[in-house]
Amino acid sequence: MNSKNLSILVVDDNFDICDVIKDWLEDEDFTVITSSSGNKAIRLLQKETFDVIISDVKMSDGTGIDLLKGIKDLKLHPKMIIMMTGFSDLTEEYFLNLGATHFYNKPLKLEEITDLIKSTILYP
Amino acid sequence: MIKIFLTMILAIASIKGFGQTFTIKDLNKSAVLSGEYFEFTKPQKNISEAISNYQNKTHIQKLSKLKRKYKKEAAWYVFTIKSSFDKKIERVIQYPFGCTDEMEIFEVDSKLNLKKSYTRTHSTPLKKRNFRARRLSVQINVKPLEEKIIFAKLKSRHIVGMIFDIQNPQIAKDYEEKYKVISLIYTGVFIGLFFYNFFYGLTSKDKTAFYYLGMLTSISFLILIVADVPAYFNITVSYFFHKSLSIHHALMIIFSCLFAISFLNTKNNFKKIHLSFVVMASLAVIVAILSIFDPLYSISNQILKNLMTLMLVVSIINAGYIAFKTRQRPAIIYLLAIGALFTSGLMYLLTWNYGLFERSFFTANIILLGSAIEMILFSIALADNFNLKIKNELNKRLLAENSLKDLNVDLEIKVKSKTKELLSIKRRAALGEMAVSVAHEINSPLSAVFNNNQRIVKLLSKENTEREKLLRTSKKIETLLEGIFDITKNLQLYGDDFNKYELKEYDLVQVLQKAIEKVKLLGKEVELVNISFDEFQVLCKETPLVNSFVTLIKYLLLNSSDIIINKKQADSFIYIDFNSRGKKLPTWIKSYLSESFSSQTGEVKGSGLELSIVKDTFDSLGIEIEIGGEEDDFKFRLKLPNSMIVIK
Repeated sequence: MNSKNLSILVVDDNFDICDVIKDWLEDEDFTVITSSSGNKAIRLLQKETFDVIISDVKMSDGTGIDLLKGIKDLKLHPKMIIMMTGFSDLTEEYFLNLGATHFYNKPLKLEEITDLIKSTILYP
Repeated sequence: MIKIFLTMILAIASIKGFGQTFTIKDLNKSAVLSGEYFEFTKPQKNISEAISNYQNKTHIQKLSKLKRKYKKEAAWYVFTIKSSFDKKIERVIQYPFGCTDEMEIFEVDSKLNLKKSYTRTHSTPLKKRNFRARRLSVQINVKPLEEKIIFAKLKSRHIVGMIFDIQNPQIAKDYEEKYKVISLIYTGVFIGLFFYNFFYGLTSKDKTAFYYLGMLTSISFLILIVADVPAYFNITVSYFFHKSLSIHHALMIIFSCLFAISFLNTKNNFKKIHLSFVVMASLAVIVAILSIFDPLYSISNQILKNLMTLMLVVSIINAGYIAFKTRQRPAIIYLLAIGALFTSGLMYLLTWNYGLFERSFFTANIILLGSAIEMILFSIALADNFNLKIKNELNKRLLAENSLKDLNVDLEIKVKSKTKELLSIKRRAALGEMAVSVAHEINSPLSAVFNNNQRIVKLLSKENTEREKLLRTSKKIETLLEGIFDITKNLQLYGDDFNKYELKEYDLVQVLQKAIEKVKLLGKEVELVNISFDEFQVLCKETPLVNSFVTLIKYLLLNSSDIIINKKQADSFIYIDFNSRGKKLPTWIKSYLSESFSSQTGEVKGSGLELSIVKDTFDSLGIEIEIGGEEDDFKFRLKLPNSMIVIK
């Protein structure tokens, strides 16, 4: 699979975070689209298909949890769903049970993310 | 009970008072007449023998008290009469229970000369009681200071049960006139007090007054009945009334008991005394019921009379005990009232039965006086009791009010303390949320800085470094760091000690302008529209006020808004109106303004602490926040107090 064929959706209500993740992933030749909330992301998912979803947990208009439930309701099966959070009382296990495939704490180590995507999807 | 006793004595007194009727036992002690009564021990042949035997005091015995007895044979009697008045005396000899058809009378002067003799054959049957009974009476005139000796011969087979009534018409008339006055006064007092207590009972709803009225009513009935039975000898009242005598006796006892129980409040305080009254009232009821089967003038009335006497004694003892124990005014007055009645009754008995005091109009009517005093005292006591009850009620209310006040004070203190506590908890909670929010706000740009830095490192590690990307990423880092500095700067603002700022006069327009300039840096387009005046001098602490305005505008106004300063002439307050140029403000602003602490979640998370500090600042300066307008035209205003306005 070619990097350019891999579409990634980045969801975070903080523009700066979205922006830097997008820049980073685009540097790796991935196709990246950003969304500022969980609800907006669900609406986007109804129209488009993404291989990887990277989402924040705490967001004002639809949280990461809402997004995970939305994906389940839409019966979508992205190859990878990565959840990231700065502060959360919820455990990694909780997110994995909801359908997430990976869980990371902020600040993200972007190198790890790209390595993960490459090793799991591009060069399994 | 007292009334029953009173009534009995009163009835007798009234008869004796104006009728001057004396029984033979009273003859020797009479103030009007004096004399002696003798009985021959054997029948006399004629008047001469009788006079001779009387002169020699042979076959003759002096009687002190004539008792009812049956005689099979003829009997002779002698009465000596001496008038001590200079008025005509009329004497009447009666045989109320006598059973004879004829009586010979011989009037003899003091020198034992026979003056007059005649035979009385007319007899009056005594109705109902005994069809065989006859009453014979004679009239004997006695001149002033005259002495007469009367010899009376009764036929064989007679019953001697004579009562000798001596009447002096003139004295009787005098007494009658005096008695009418006294009686009128007494009746006036009686009626007056009856209605007084009746209306008192109605207004006060004090059942004691009604018991008292019951007592008075029973007495009046008894007086009516007994007064129509002169000394129980001339029976003229109807059978029905005689039958009801026991009922009235009983009613008086019952009402007296109820009155005493209620008045002295024995039920709650004096159980044994209460029991004694209950027992007596119950006995009265039983006797009254049994009296239905009892013939007239028989045992039931006698029992009731004795019961009344017993009640009087018991009442005095009980009232005395309660008065001594409690020292309360009602009990003392009650005791005095009974005491007055008891004393008058006792004095009457000692005068008219035992001749201890001089017989006079006063002693004849002393019971009326005692009764009137008793009635007045009871009426006063009732009113006094009522006053005491009202006072007690007032005291209770006063105590309750004081307790309530104390409770209110306690409650106020508790509320203040709890509010403080709550405020403290809320502040801590707000601080916690603020910390979380601040952490979140700082964490996000820091994360972005971290990631951008990662990117720079990555870009630099490449052989063909893209210079533009590097610069752009570096610029992003700079912007992010500036944002972080702003946040920390704002935090410092709220760490300031409010007291360190000086209270001085400032131009309100300038203060607001400073705030607007700060807000504009945040990207909001806010204009100050000062319509009425150019300058407002206010007494304030500038920096906290400016910061407060900044916070208000930052959180509560839309991006483009107006601030209008206005001054109403009517109340001389200064009003600062905040509006968003006719645009609808978010509804959550309302809750922000009314209770800033409740607005720490949702869209404006983290602003609660700032807004609460603003509110504290306004409170300390006496500034009120008023919310006005409908949802679509929502606006709020600050009302600056007179104390802040400096007029020059």
